[in-house]
Amino acid sequence: MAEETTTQPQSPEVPEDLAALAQRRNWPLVVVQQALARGMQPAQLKEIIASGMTPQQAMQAMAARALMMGQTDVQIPPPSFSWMAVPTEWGVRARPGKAGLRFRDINIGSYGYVPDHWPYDTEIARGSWPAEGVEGMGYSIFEKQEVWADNAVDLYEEAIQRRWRPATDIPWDTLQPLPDALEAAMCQLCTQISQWAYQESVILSKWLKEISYGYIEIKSFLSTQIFEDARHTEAFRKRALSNGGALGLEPPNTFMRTAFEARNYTEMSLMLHLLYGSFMEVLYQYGQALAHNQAEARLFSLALQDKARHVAYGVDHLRFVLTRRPDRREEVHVYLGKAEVAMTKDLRDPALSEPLALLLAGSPDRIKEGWAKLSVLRKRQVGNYLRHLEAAGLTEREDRLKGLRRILDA
Amino acid sequence: MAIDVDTLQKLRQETEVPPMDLSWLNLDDTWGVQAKPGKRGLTLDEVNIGPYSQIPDQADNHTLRLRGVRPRPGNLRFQYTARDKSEVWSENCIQLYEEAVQRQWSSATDIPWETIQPLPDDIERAICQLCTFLTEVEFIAGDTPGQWMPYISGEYYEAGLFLMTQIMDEARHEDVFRKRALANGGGLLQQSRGAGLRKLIEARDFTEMSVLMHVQAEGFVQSMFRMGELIGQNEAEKRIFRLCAQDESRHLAFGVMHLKYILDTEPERREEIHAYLDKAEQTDVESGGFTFDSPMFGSLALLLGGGKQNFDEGVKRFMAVRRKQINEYIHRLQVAGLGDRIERVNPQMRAFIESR
Repeated sequence: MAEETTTQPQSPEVPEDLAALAQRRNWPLVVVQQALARGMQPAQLKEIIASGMTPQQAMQAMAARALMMGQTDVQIPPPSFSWMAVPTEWGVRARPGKAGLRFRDINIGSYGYVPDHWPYDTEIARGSWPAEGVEGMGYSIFEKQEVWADNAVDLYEEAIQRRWRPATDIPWDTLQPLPDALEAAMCQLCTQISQWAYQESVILSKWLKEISYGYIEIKSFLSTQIFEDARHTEAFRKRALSNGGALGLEPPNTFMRTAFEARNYTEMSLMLHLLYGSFMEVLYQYGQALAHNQAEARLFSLALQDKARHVAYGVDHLRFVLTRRPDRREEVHVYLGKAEVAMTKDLRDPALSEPLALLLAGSPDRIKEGWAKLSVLRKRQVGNYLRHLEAAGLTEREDRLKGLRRILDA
Repeated sequence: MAIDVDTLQKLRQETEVPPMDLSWLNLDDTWGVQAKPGKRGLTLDEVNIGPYSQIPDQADNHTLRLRGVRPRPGNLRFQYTARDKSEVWSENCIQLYEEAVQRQWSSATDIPWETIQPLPDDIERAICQLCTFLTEVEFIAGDTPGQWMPYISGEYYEAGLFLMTQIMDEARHEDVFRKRALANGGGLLQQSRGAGLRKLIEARDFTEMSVLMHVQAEGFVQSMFRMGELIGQNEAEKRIFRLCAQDESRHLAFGVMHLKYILDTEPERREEIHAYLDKAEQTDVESGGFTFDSPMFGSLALLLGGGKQNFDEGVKRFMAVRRKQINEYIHRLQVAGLGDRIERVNPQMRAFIESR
């Protein structure tokens, strides 16, 4: 490694004020002269000196700049490699298990410690050593309880392992023509699911920039859900357009719009992961049962598998909130009340209920039977929702149901 | 649609059941769409047929209603979304979406972690430092497209779907580099000083964001990943760089084709785009960490040189990487139709072009 900083151009004169500043900050005059000789303006150099940069750093910067400007006669100053000596935990050796090297496997030692409060607004990676003078990124979530779920780290890996491809993993060739009324009903149902999936993904996407690296597992899990929602958007649209039908009517959007409005992450999660997720789980289960062919059966089955993960995250997140912040219990009820009212309003819409009643009936001739089955389906959806809330520790919700009570009582 | 009159009557007149509205039936004349799978399965291209293939140049759709779905009067708006196709569109977004879905990979099982062997301390520290830098960078690259999702009209939902795949890709990248840092007796090291990446999240226009993130920042990263054969010390690391480069290629391709689309359709925006690039290049030069003491520069030079003792050689190779980055950047802009960028590129970058 070279001892000299650069080749030696002719020494220029140093203005008095610059020389005085350099002296005050312990900058050797020769370094100042070298900088000026390389074309740096005195004012610029004063700024650099005043910024606190050491002469060695400045020499390195000058040499790097000279190299970047295409100069070949530059000698490279010795770097300090100070980044090698930062006091982070060293000697970590995560080992892959049977399922490969999972996120959980690397959460060891200090790297597995997820603090209750994350102190950084920069994008600093959890466990690395903070640099000074880094701009903030504008994150807004710094408390673990705001987003955390213990199972997120495993759900993330599971989502990746269980990925599927609508273009090639659905046996589209098994679709067969259906009676027009049933095809129309299926197309309307698929239109709604596709539309909701897209909206859910958009809502989740806008929360990413709020979450700091301290809770990277959550952000990673949300990314899988965003991607899965893209897949659902795509897959159900494909079903609507591949069997002689068409896309249907836009579903009512009171519920999704309310979820979009959420100003608190837990509020959003209660709406999408717990209420909407619970309803969709049951809908997909019925979709499997109602399938007219292997393609539909596979589609609903794969979508259900994805949705179960989203719900599992929501349950665990709520459990975490209620455990860590029992004082938020009433707040949670407020969010759920708002969500249930919005959901109830949408459920009244004929475009949501009539196609399902028709599909459940199997034929317009048996529509009465279809309505009866729909009533059971709705009760199961509400029951699924309540069961998940109970699993999270919110056992009293049934007594406070808003709107959805009518479904249970029907 | 061919729902016969008798069926409709039957549904409406069934006694002892709620009266049926059926407003969702018999909506239009698009009935009868029958997309068929092609060689690559049933892709979005295949379902873009008939009326669904018509992507309007302008949209007045603020409810996130997907293209082709019949509008419901009275539905609530989500927020103002792009009115012009050119604002968000890229002609290759449909193919890139399908490719992304097909080419997902797992950092847990698709990397041959068992090929990692103990490395000399300085090399291990350098690879850990580089991974510390990259896991940060990829973190921002997921946030940035996320914040633009509500802006994309449902008329152009394929662009939205593509960005959703990018979010997934970036999550995998931030995870794989973190895994590598913690898998071989090392650890995470020094935070980078921002690398000028806040400009991505600061962008106030979709095209600005795309040019800065997809074309410039991801282009630079991809040029680095393509040097993975030199940087990687074992098959696991080489595979990481190869797979990440494959993902980055898609992001980059979206950006290049978006830029081309906007230059073709809105040529009056050329100067504006140059202004974004002026700012971004200056930020890159100022905060790209190009001092030998910067963690990114130092670690990469050390890896390229093969150790502390060959640091000078590593610096020269780093400069070759930098040259490659900048020349590829200029080439991509040329492909997009911004060939005149070479005339006004930041002087510190131009030095590399002129020294080719």
